[in-house]
Amino acid sequence: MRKIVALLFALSLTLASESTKTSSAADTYPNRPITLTVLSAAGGSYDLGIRLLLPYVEKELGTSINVVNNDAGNGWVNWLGCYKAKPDGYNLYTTNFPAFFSCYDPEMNHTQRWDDFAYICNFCTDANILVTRKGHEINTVKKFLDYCLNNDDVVIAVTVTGGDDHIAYLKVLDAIPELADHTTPMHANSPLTQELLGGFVDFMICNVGNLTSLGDNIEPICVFSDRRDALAPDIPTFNEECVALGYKDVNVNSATNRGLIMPKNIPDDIQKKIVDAFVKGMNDPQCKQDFRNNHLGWNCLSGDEYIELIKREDAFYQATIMPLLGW
Amino acid sequence: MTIANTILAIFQIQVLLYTLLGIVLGMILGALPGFTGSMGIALLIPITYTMEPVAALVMLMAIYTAGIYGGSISAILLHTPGAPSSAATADDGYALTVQGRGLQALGVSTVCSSIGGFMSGIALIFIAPWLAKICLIFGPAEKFMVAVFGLTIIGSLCSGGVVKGLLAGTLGLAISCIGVDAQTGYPRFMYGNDYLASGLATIPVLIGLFSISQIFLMSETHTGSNKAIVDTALSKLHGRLLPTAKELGKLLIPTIRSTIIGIAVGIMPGAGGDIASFLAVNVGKQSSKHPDEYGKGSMEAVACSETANNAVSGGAMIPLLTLSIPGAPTAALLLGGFTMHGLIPGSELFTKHADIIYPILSGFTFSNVLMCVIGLLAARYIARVVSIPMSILAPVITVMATLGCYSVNLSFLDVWAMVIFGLLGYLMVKHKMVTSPIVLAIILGPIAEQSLLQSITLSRSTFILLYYLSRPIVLVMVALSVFSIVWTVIREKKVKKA
Repeated sequence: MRKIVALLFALSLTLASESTKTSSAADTYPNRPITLTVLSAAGGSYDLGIRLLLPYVEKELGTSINVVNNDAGNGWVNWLGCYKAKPDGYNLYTTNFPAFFSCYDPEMNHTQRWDDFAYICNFCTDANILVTRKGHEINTVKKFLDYCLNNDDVVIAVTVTGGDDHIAYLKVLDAIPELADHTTPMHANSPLTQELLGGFVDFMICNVGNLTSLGDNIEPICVFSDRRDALAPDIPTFNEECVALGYKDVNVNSATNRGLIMPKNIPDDIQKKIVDAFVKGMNDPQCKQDFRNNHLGWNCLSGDEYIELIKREDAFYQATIMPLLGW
Repeated sequence: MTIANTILAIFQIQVLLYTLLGIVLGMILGALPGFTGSMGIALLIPITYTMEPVAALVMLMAIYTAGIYGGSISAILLHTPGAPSSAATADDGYALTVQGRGLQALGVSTVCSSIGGFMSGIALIFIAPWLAKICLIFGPAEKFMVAVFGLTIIGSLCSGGVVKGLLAGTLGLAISCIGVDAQTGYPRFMYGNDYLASGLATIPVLIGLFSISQIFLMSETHTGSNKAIVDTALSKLHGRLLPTAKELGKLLIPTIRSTIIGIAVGIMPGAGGDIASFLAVNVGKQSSKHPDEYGKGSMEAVACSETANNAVSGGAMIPLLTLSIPGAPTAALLLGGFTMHGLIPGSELFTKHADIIYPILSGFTFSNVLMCVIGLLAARYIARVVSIPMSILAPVITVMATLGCYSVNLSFLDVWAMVIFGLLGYLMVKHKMVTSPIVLAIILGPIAEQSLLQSITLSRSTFILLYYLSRPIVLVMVALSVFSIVWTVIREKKVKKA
């Protein structure tokens, strides 16, 4: 009996000390700088958004966050790094939907799925937009639809197969099945401005965030979003134009969603601390202003709201996009 | 906006100080193997957000032009191109250093880099909208043929050993195939390693082939450890820095020609200083009275390469600021800097924002003059590096090269790539093979592949050959490529006869 009591006592002591250890780990977190791996090259709009946000998060966490840019492997070096990283809160990573859904590409043999990671928040949503060159006579949704329905040789440039711009048009096809697939993936990683202005393609799908840098050489036709974009309020949505034209049930929403992730199995209290710091930083009025000034689509989503967005995009990708891509 | 206002704007003490900072930072980053001016620009863009736009953007553009020039310093003195755009300078520049003319090569490089940058700045200020239209006639088919024409330079690069050169070029093209296929998404030569999905980074390959191979050569003998690159270095380093008027006169035509090549390549989207410098050296060799000196220590080759790569800096800004089309990868980074300050490319930039844009462009042009002064003042001190014993220099270069390679992707695999290509470069040198065709093919391979795929897509139902033959510029490029090959064959025959 004495032995059992002694054993239980020792066990409770061990458990108590472990729980003390855990709580102290969370209490002292962070006690050293954090590393954040960004999946894009330094200097781009993705990187800029992160660097604008971090000072506000550093203030909340009370430690510095070192940015490491690693765009190798189309983002997969970053995601695999997160998958293998120690879940201690000192290694944070970035993500991008729908880019992550390249995990379903059978050629790539990736076993990781979106629920293999812990999510901090979405920080930027950049809606897709249809544009043409300035002076092109097809410059409204009505003219665009008529033109596409009556011409076989229409060329709509998108960057890569399965990219957010390609998916935007695949969503249009899903909504208006009588349209033909006029998209031409151009195997590029930036907007195809030269091809559009040079007359090699008729239209281009890019993001609202690109609009500012494209200047007055291009003419926007519509935004693929359920509401007008705050950064481009004069541009109609594809949906509102379609409703005016008599199309029913057209709801095309397409964007690139940029977010932050960390390894799964991170202790709950540390995860909460990180998520709270990022959400507070995002909601700082000055941070919002910085995003607006740099034409970045501020969109702070965390917790269930963020997971719902990912689930919705994943379901659509699997049901609609993958068959179209032959995956 | 009057000329007086523009001058006043760029001579503000704040603007001058930031220009100076940009030049020094660019030169240092450019000269360090693996580090580039682009890295500096990328890291500084968010910091410039709160700065006054003229000072901020002149500083970023000064980093761009000085970074290209800085690459030539280590290329000439140590056979270590600080940046890909200096790869074409390395062979001739280093040969001149070994001959004891390193200081003069630095002088020529400094003056020619500044002339190239300055003239491209002038073109940017005065004829940008007109020149920008040229970029719009280069579609995917035209770009593919430009890449093919660029590949024909390989024959010219390897005087006396065309077969070995073509072999090296083929190896370079094979290396450029590593990574995910842009069209099908199929992983090529990746062997399950995600690190290779974007292909091999150019910088580790470049440093390995040029710099590490040189270290291996230096380390061949124990007896050489106390020797420097130039045995009687100090006495030679006290020689002339600037070429004489007669020598400068000889370099005038190659410099003017290379300026035009640099601006033209800069305007073309996707092509940067690396391609321009190889192209300028090739054209220089074809037009030179002493083509046999090229590759063995030609001052003309250094002038061609360095003028052209710096002329790209202003050339690449022409389509960027008028049409929002970056002419070179670094220009794409600068676009972020401009838009951050509300300077949106297009016609309004030169009218509505004339009070800001003209001082920025003038500041960039002036920064090339300042770069020349700083470069010439520093040259004698920098050139002393060649008098350092190998036992000190070799490990220092190795450490810097390792750090530079690691910094590209923060991956040790890049360091391994550097070592492997270092060994390959060493073996190639031992077998009298030129390493630059590998670099040229690695740079041009992806451009050729992407453009070919795009042109096939755009040709639609037209037979691809007919699609190509229906485009006038394609035909011109085909003619130039054929001429380049025929000229190489004729020259090779002459070399064999001699």
